[in-house]
Amino acid sequence: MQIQQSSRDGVAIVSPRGRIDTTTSGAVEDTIRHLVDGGARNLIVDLSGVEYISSAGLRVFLVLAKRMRDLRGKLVLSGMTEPVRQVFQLAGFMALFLVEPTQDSAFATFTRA
Amino acid sequence: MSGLHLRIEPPGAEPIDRECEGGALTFGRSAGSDVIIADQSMSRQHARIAARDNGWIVEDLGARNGTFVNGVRIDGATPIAPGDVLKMGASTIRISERGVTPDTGALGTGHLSSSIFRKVSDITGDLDRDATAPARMAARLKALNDFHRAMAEPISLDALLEQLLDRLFATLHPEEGVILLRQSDGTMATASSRRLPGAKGELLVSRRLVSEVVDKATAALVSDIEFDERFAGSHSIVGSGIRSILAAPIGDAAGCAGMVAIYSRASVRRFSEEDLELLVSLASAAALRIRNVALAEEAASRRVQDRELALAHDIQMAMLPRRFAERPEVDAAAALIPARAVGGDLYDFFITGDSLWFIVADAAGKGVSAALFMAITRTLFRAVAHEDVAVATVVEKMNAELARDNERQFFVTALAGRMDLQSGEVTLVSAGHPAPLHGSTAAPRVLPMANGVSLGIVEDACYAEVRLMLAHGDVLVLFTDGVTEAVNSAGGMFGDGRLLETFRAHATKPSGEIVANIVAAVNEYASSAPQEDDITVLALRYR
Repeated sequence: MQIQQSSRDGVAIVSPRGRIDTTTSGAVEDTIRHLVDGGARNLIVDLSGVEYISSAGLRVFLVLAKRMRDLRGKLVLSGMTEPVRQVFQLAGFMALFLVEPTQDSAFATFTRA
Repeated sequence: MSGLHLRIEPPGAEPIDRECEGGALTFGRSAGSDVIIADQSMSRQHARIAARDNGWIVEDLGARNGTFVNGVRIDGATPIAPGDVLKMGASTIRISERGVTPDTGALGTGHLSSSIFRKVSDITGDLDRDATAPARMAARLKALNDFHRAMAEPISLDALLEQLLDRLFATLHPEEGVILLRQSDGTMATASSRRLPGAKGELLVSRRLVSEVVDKATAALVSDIEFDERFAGSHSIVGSGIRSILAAPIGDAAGCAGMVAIYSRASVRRFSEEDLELLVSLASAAALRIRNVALAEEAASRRVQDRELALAHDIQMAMLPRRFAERPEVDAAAALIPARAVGGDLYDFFITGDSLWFIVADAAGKGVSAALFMAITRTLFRAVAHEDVAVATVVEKMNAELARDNERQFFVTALAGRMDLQSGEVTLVSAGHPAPLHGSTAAPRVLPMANGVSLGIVEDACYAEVRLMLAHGDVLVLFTDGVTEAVNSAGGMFGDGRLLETFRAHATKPSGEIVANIVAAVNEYASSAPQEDDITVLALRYR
C-alpha cells in the first residue's frame, strides 16, 4: 500500500495505491485523519490506483464522509476502478458519496462552487 | 602518574573515600563542587586537586579559612603526594595511593572523569580485575550470586524485576531505580521502579539517557551530571537534582529488551566504574531471564485469550440454528466457516405460523468487533420479525436501530426474507448484500434483486421488496461474499461464475448436498491459501 498526498489550490488530494483491506485500511484512515485534523476541508481521494477494497476499507470512507459532513467539508471520490465501484455499488453506498470519473473532474467540482 | 585515594573526613560525619585517576576535583560547601562537604567552616568553593604532568597539586580557591598541607597554609598550587594530609576548614583529607584503602567501611569511589560510556562487551567478564578491595568485592559477588540463584528458580516477571532492584539497592545504595522494558509496540515503558523514602519530584526517565543506553547498547556512568556535556541540554536530568547516574542495557544477543538505571542525588555518593560493572553484570543476568519470562507470560496470556476466543466461538456457533427440518414443506441446510475463531457472518431462520423467516448477513471487518455486531444483528432480527410484519419493515427497523449512534460506522450487509410455506411465495429484501441463487426447473440463475444500502449507515433508509413464487422443488441459495471472494494462492478469486457453475451441477440435490458441494468447491479452489473472510452458505428448498 502506497499513499501519495498532494494539494492543488487548497484541495487536498490523497491517492492510495494497492488493496484497501483489513491490513491496509488503517494506514489510509490515519493519513486522511491526519489531513483533516490539520484543517483540510476540501478533499479528493483518488481511487484510480486501488484494485480492491474490502468492507473494512469501505468503513474508512463512511467514517470520513460522516466526519466531513459534520465539519461542513467536502469529499469527492475520483477514478474508481470497476472492481471498487462494484463493491461500493453492491453495499449500496454510491449514493452516499460525490463520485467523479477523474481527478480533474473532481477538482472542477471545487472550482465551480 | 599514579592515581590518588582520598579519604575525606568531614567534622562529625562518616568519612568519604574517593579515587582520582586524572583531571581535577573541586571541594566546597556549594552544590557546584565536585565533592560537597557539609562543613560550615569551609568556603563554598574551597580548593581544587588537579593532575599535572609530573604529579598532583592542590590549590586554594580563595577560601576564607585557607587550605593546609601537612599543617602549612598554602599559597598557590602546591604539589601533593600519598601520605600528605590536607585540611580544609574543619575537614581532613588524607592522601594515599589509588587502590590503597585505609580500612574497610568505604562508601564507594569516584573518578575525576565525570562520565564513562562503555560498550557492555568491554565491561562484562572484567569484574575481578580490581582485587584490592576484598570486602567490597565480596559484597558484590554475593549480590551477583544471590541474583543468579534467584534467576534459577521459577519467577514471574514482576518478581524478577523486584529482585533486580533489591540487589541494586542493597549493594549500590542508590536513592532511585527504574527498569524500562520494550513493549510489544516497540516503545520503552517503565516496568518497575523504586525510590527511597523522601525522594521528591517526578521519577526521572530521560529520553536522552534511554537513547544513549538502549539504542547504542552502551552502559552509562555519569558520576556528575553537571559536568557531563551529554546531558547539558537535557533539562529533565539537570533540573532533577540528580547528581549521579548508572545505567545499563538489558539485552542479549537477540537485542535490547530494556534498560535499568539507578540515580543518586547525594553530593557525596557518586557511582564508580566498579559500580557500573556490577550493574552491567546484574542486567546481563536479568536479560535472558526477562526474555524467557516475557515469552512465557505472552504464551500464557495468549492461551487465556485463545480459551476465551474458543468460548466466544462456541457461543457464536450456538446462536446458529442447527435443527434444519422442522417442517415437511422446507428442506434447509447451512454452513458457516469463520476465517478466525469468531467472525462477522450470520445466518438464521425460524418458523412462525406458516412463515419461514431467514437471513444471511455479513458484518464489516473481522474478529471480535464484527462478531459483536453480528450478534446484535441476529438479536434484532429475532426481535422484529413477526408473522404480520412486512419484510421491508423488518429490515428498516433493524437498520434504524443499528444506525443509531453508530459513530464508528460499522455496517452489515444482509439478505432477509420470508417464505410462505402454504403458497411458496418468497419475499426478499437486500441491504447491500449479494443476490441469491435460484434453482428451478428452468436454468439455475442469479436472482435479480433490488439492492438497498447496507444496514447501520443511513438511519431512515427505505428498502424495496422482491417477490418470487417458488414451485415445489425450487431452491434458493443465500451466501456471503466470503464465497465469491475466496482467493487462491495465485491471487485469483472464486467469483460469481464458479459459484453459479457449482450450483448448476448440484441444484437438484438435497439442500445439505448443495451447501456441502459449494463449500468443497471453494476449499478446493482456495487450496492452501489462507481463508481471508468468513464463508456462509444457506440453501432453502420448497417442497
